[in-house]
Amino acid sequence: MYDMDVDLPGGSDFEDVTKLFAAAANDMDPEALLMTDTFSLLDAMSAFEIGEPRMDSGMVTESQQRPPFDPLAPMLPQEICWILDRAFACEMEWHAGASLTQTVHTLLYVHYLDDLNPDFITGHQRYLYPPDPRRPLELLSVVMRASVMALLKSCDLAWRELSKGKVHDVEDWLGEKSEVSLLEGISADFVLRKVDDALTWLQYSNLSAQDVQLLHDRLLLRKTVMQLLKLTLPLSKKELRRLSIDARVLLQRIRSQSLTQPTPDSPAAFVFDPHISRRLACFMPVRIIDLPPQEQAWDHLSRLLDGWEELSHLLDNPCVSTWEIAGCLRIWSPRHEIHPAYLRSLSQSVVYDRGNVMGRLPPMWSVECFFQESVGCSYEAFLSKICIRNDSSALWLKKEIENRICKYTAADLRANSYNPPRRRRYFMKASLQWHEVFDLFLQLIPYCEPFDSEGQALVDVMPSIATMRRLAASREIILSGLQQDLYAREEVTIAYWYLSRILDAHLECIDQILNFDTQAREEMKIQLNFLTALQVMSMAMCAITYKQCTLPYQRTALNFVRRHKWAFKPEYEDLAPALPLPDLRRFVPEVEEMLSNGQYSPAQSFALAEDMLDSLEGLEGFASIWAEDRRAFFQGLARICIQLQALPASSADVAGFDLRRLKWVDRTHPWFPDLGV
Amino acid sequence: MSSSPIVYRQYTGESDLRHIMSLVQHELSEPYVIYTYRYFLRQWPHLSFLAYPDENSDPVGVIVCKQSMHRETRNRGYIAMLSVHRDWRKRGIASTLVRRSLAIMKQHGVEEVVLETEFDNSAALSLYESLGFIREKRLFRFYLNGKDAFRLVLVVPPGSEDQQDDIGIPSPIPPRPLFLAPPRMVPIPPLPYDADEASAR
Ligand SMILES: CC(C)(COP(=O)(O)OP(=O)(O)OC[C@H]1O[C@@H](n2cnc3c(N)ncnc32)[C@H](O)[C@@H]1OP(=O)(O)O)[C@@H](O)C(=O)NCCC(=O)NCCS
Repeated sequence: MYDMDVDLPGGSDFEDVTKLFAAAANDMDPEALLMTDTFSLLDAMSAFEIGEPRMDSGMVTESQQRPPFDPLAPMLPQEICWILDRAFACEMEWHAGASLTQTVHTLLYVHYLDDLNPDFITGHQRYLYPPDPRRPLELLSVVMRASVMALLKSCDLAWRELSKGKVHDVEDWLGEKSEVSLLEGISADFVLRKVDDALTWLQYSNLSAQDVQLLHDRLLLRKTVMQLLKLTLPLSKKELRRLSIDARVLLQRIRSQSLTQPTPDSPAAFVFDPHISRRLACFMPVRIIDLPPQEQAWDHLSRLLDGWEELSHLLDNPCVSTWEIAGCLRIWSPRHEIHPAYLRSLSQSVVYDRGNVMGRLPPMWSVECFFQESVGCSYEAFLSKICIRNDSSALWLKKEIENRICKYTAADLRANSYNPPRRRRYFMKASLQWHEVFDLFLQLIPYCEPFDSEGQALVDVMPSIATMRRLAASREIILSGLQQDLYAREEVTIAYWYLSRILDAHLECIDQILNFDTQAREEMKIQLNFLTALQVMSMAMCAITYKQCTLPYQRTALNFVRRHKWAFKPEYEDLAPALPLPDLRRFVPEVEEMLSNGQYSPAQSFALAEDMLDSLEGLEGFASIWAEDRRAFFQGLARICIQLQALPASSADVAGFDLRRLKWVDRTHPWFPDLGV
Repeated sequence: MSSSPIVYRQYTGESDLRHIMSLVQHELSEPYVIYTYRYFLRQWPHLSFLAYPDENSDPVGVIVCKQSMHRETRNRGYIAMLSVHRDWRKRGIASTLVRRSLAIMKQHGVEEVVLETEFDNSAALSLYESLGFIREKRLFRFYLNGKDAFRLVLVVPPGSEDQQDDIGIPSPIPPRPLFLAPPRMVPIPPLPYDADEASAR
């Protein structure tokens, strides 16, 4: 082990420049600031003050003094187990977004792997401590060493996936390694063999059966997790499932075992140094964090395993709609936490990787799904019915449409694995892209010469399939805006209003598609009811909250245009109109008309929506094994409807309603407020 | 506490810095280095204001801003720091400070004003929203502590530079206070990155 305290980064031939700086400063006026051309705010902010404890991570205060670390200090088997568990907690916290320096690197063995190497341990070191059969050296040189190597290699494998650029460094995860090795140069198989060696040693050791079991389970869990991380694309669903189920069994067993916590004077208590960053080459000041309690760390690991298993099921279901449903449910459901960045990256890699979609399918598969999952016929059958004339422009259009469907379908599916704000910004782009597909379909129509009414119906409906994708994107922009609390009270009414108009247009498309008797029919019916319920609820919210719009019209209009920048992009001007247009002028007349209708009842609207959601009971559509999740989601929405049925029963009563009863903060549903007393 | 009207003054120089730092630092979990303050104050001193309870006491509120061309197309203002001492909150000091800076930005042709704030800073959110800002986007895990932020934006309609705000701004104001020589520029090769705002997202 090199001595880190002496090994200064950059070598030791430093020169003192204080005098030079002082001389240069003499030439400056008081208050003068020297700046270079490209000196940016970030540069200014990245300076730090030596001796300011919150910035100067190298500073050691009195209370932080600790004895020097001895990697070979003997440990009891259960102390080793405790360390291995906490090492999992470190790894999970890194997966949750903390830096390696705050987590994995705090495990000091990480920096002393060479000292643990049995080949390098000298006789002198061997006899430094009196022999103790309860604390054999191999617990460190074999078990700990293999575990730490596997931990680092696991991080390396995850790092490789994370750094593909599908999730964002600093935002979704932290890639900074602070010049500490993650065993990049050592093969994963070698590390796995070390773990196997440790398992073998354990088997023949003289430890108690109980200790052997405890250590065995942890080594095996570490190995299984590493094997999962080691899987390469295209992922084998069989392996994914087998390994994640194995890992889950081990995890359950470990969680049921009770470990003796190390005493405060045990060497195990000094194995993690939260202040390790002061000895590493760190870019940013590192905040000291508390690692989560072990139960929470296991929950994190369990979610990682769920994610792998879910992926294996998704690979069973080559159906765009199923992926879509599973992805949306994860985002929409308040009880689901967002997946760790690693899984979100991996899912995206599975959706599209080096020319393959969903693992092993050719990109044209997306085009197949596009038609199969809407009008219910294969692409080949579709083409044979719409009869495109043999004309070079028509063939170009056809090819262009195919390419774009492939590209945008994969992009849509990948976006469900973005972090929610990024996903929302993606849909702003996507709604334009799908509108371009719609426009290309319109251009293709004159070249179609169907010979029967069925063919004609397909020609008529094809642009609408693209429009449904656009409207789904637009809907997600607004729903995620609600979910992310982007709308102030002033704006929320307009958001519900525009959402209801988008849903209206979407429902028209679905009606058109329901004319086709297809296997997609059940899914379309589910969509029809769900979106109708949502539409009715949005209108009712609009009616209820209308009176809180009090800003002057000019400010409302400015904010509306900015808010809907995505729908006002100049590119739309060259295309057929993208209905419903974002036209604020229609807002006031439409809402006032609704409110002046004596028959209109917000409370009744919520009752109606509840009925529609209830009627979805038992329908599965394309939800596959997510049918249960979807049902739970609809039930959650129905429960909000029940609550909101206590809203005014007539438009006349709306005026007297106290808007402070709508509870937005910590609400149960991401899209609608709760109703307080 | 006196009931005399609050006095607002433009930043006058390094002697104000100590007060500004103590007002702002108080609210931060990670401190800013002094260069962060100087970065703004030396380049846009005219956009920074301090609020005093009377002529002789220390300031109780401060705003620090910048204004520059964004992607060479939009004249963008940026509110970097805003803080009012706990004992002096909820009496309109922050909104007056924002209006003051805004008025100067308008004289310099500002088209939009942006800032970031923690997603759960309800005081700041209502303050800015009462001034017409909207939460344009959420920024995922924006802060070092893993918290999300909101990017707020105020769209300034063209032609509002001649609009008198409801507070008396002495007009005309010189584009920059005269005591300030522009920061000296030393040409060095450009850095491989360009990040002039806290967030390039
Ligand atoms: C945010 C902050 C600057 C507000 O200062 P302030 O002087 O109290 O604000 P004002 O009195 O000018 O308030 C103006 C409006 O903001 C809103 N507001 C201010 N404080 C609020 C609070 N605690 N809760 C809800 N709304 C609040 C109100 O809408 C208020 O208008 P009203 O008085 O007509 O109701 C102050 O709380 C502060 O310094 N906080 C810590 C630092 C910070 O968060 N800075 C902003 C980060 S960019």
